[in-house]
This record gives sequence, structure tokens and C-alpha cells, in this order.
Amino acid sequence: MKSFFCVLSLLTLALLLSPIVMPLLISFSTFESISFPPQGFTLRWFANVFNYESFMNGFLASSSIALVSSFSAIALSLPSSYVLYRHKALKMKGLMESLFTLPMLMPEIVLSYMLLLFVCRALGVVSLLSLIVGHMLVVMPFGMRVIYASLSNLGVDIEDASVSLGRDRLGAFLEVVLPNIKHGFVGGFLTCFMVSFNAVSISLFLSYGEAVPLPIAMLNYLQIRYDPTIAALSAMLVVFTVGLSAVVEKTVGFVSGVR
Amino acid sequence: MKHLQLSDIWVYYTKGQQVLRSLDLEVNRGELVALLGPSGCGKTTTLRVIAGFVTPQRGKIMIGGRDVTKVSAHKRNIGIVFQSYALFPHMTVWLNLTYGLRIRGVPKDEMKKRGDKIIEMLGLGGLEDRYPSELSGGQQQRVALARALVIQPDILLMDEPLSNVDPKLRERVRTEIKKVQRELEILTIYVTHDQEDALGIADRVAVMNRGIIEQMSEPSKIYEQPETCFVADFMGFENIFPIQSIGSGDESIVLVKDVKLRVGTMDHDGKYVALHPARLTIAREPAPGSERLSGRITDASFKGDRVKYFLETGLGELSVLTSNKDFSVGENVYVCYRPEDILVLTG
Repeated sequence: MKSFFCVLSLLTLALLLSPIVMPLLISFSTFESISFPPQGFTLRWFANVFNYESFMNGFLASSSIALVSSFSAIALSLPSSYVLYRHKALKMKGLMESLFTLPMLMPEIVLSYMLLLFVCRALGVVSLLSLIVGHMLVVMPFGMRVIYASLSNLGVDIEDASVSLGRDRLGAFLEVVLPNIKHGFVGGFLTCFMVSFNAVSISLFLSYGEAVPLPIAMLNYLQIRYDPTIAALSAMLVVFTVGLSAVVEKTVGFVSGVR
Repeated sequence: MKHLQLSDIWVYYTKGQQVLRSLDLEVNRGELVALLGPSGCGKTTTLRVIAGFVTPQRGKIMIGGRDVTKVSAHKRNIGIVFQSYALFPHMTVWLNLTYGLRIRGVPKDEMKKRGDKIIEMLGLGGLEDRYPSELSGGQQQRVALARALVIQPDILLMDEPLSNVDPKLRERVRTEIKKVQRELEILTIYVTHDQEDALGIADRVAVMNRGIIEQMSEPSKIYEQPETCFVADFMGFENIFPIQSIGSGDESIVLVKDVKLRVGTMDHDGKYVALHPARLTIAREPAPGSERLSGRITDASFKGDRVKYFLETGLGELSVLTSNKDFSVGENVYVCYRPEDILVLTG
């Protein structure tokens, strides 16, 4: 029985990892279209990625959108998290906590559609700003969650301790609270960044001519050509994402701290 | 080393939910007062009012003759030892200790002098460069105490300081705190829910219940002569019964559930009688002339050197704590008492 489960868990693992490993293998294949098993060895498809302008622009667009939206999301998360953290007796605190993180559980497609409606109404047209605002709204619950968790772990006493020793509230916050949640900031920021980078639906709904995020550029490419360039790019994205996750794991613990 | 006075303090969060109801508290210089009560009685809120973290809706707080009601927390010069110790995790022991001194702009050499003195006093030598996470719970607590004391506060507040201490070490830590407090003669408010803790350390104990102080006096008086049912119950008077009427001829007789009890001193406003289980004894044959009730043992619970018996008597269920272990469940016995051990409570 024990060995049966061992085999089963190995198979499950293989199933789980194959979509991640496959593009890695295919990306080195000399064969002109996406096929398995791969044949030969070439770095041509990687070169292709760097030579294809839409990908480079897409990467740039995705990174800048992720950067700006994550930064603003974190900046907005801090005050809200702080209020929830300080005010134990806040009315309906549990409800507030849930509401702040609820968008995380919404199907992204629904959120994207609502944002398209809302953002277009509010900002007139689809623009880079609307794309950034949309991404910010998608990633904010993640940032909020991480920052609130690190504040809660810290507890309110150390801020009060600082005040009792003579610092005013703001000074206490800057001197003893902030330095102790800096891991939360880094972790929250990176989490937001990854979520934004990978948010396909929101980009799909809100992207426009000039700013096409990477996932959309990839979809567009696939509609024209079916060669291992996409596999090469996917392989690079896997490495990029795993690298970021490793950093998050090191700082706050992605698995335990975020979900 | 100043004198503290709270008068008519009211704290309520929302309508109907009153945390402190016209609380009055006066503490003398150098005195250690324990605020004792169950959770939610308002003891921690009282502490936070003194610290300046909670602003009362009404009332006045005086420290050393100065009205500090409107003074913000960081200007009150009050040392606090938190239940969680609240050491700054990113600072070493030395930086934690001298934090308040740096804020006050104390010159370097004096800072060193005061820091070293408190380190010696609390036996923290050699730990200066450690981080809080590298200390044991006991060491963390002493650092927290040292950090609060080194600023030479007017008042020291301690919030359940022993709740995270190993039960076996509690008594020792308590003695240590008391020693330091005596040495510095600092007015201290000590919040706890543990009666042994409060009675063991305080000069005076204030028993709190639902936002007011029910009784405040020396530990021995609180323990031996509680004035209200709540305090009596908290001090382990498990047998409390309402008085039915006072004997018409003999004033030392009260009637409880048609049972006559002889009491030592009668208060005409008395509403309840309280009997401490440890001051009752059980006998098969009562000594002639002694006061007694008859009853049947319904249950027994072993307490090490003593046994607690539960008896069915004319008064209702009665508990007796005695070192005499040779009674068994189901036996018909007599419960003996001395009239002066029966307390008459007014509320």
C-alpha cells in the first residue's frame, strides 16, 4: 500500500511539473513547430524572442505596469492595514478584513469586465493609466494581505512601548513599526509584481494599441505563428517567476504568508 | 516617586458598553497597588488610561499634583512593562534599554552610567549585544523592566507581567520585581487576574469588577474580610448564601433557608453570608457546644495535602477543604464552624 502511494505521488508530481518542464525541453528543439519529443539542440528560438519587438515591448510594458501598480497598491495598503491592525475594537473588523481581501477570490475575468466598464466610465478611454489602475486594483488585496499579516504578527505593543518611552505616534511608527515590517513590504511588493505580471484577463480587457503587456503579445504571436519561440519565452518566464518566488519565500514565505 | 490620583473616570466605547464607571483610585508614593479582577473588568483599561493610551470620556488624572488628563502619552514619563514584553526586535538589548534615554537626549556618558546601573540591578550583564530573539523569556522580561525603569519614570505600570512566566518561576520573579520596586521606591500599578499574584506582591489590592473597584485594601484584609460577594467569591469563599432574615431575639443568629447560623459580628445591612471552605471542618461526632450543621458527603476531590469535600446540607451544597482525609463519599457527618469565620456581606 505504501509503495503504491509512493508511485502515485510521483506520478502526480510528474503531472504537476510537466507543463513547466515541457516548454523548457521544447525550447531547445530544432523542429520548426511545437512538438514532442524535442529533436536536436538550438538556441535559435531564444534569439528569436529577443529579436521580436513585440515581446521586448511587451516585457517592458508588463514590467512597468507591474512596477507602478504594485508600488501604488502597497502604498495604499499600508494605511488601511494599519487601521485594521491598531483598532481592535473596530466595528465589524472581521467583515472589513474580508472585504479588503475579497477581490482576491473573485474570478479575474469578472473583475476585468467590471473594471473595463468602470475604468472606461471613470477615465474616459482605455489608456496606460487605466491599465495601471486596473492592475493596481487586482493586486492590492495581495499586498494588503501580506502587509496586514506582518503588522498583526508584530503586535501593537511595541508601538505603545515606544510612545511610553517618549516618542510621539508618528515617530514610534517610523522607528519601531516600519523597520520590523520591511520584510512584509518586500514580500508584498514582489507578490503584487508577480500577480500583475501574470494577470492575463485584466490585460486582455484593458490593453490597447500602444501598450500590449507580454501575455497578450504572446497570444497575438500564437495566432500568427506556431514555432518554439513561445516555448523559449515561456521557459524564460518560468525561470523569472521561480526566481521572484524564491525571493518572496526568503522574505515572507510565499506559501505560508500569502494564501 | 509621585502620588497618583484618578477621579470619576468614565470610559465607554459605544453606548451601553461601559468599560470604566466612575472609577476612583488613589495611590501613594512608593506604593505597589495590584489591580485584580477577571478579564473584561476594566483593569487593563485603567492601566491604559493612566498611560495615556485611552482618553476617558470623563474624569481627571493627577500625577504628583499635576493634572495630566490632557497630556499625551509620550509626555507622561510613565514606564510600562507589557504582557508581551514588547521589546524592539531590531535593536540589541543595549539599544532597547537606552531607547528612552536617547529620546530624552541624555548625554553619552550619563547614558552609559544609567544603563550599566540598571543592567547590574537586574542581572543583565553580558547580554548587551544580544537581540531579543536570542534571549530566554525571563531575560526578555528583565530587559522590558529595565527599559521601563531606566528612564526614571514617575510611575511604573505592569500588565500581567507573570502570565508568560513558567509557573515554577513565578514566585521568584515576583520577589525580584518587588525587590526592585522597593529599592527604587517607585509607585507601581500591577495588573493581574491571579489572586495569588496580587496578594503576594501588592501593598494594597484593588479588586475590580465591571468597571469599578469593589474593594481596595491590604492583601490580608482583602483575603480575610471581603466586603462584597464578588470579592469573597474571587478570594475563594465558595459558599455564599443569601440571608433570609436576622434572628429577632438573638442578633447573632441569621436564618438562611430556614437554617440557623451563628455569626460573629452582625451587620444590619447584611444580605449574604460567606463561608470559606478552608475554615470549615468535618467531624463524625461534633465537640459539645460547637456550632455545626449536619450533612452528607456527595463528592470528594483530592488536592495533595488536603481534600475538598462537597456536602449536601440544609444550606444547599457546601464545600469544605480539610487535611483530614478519612471521610468517604456517602457518609453522614457534621460540618463545624466558628461564628467569627462566617462573614456577613452587604452586597
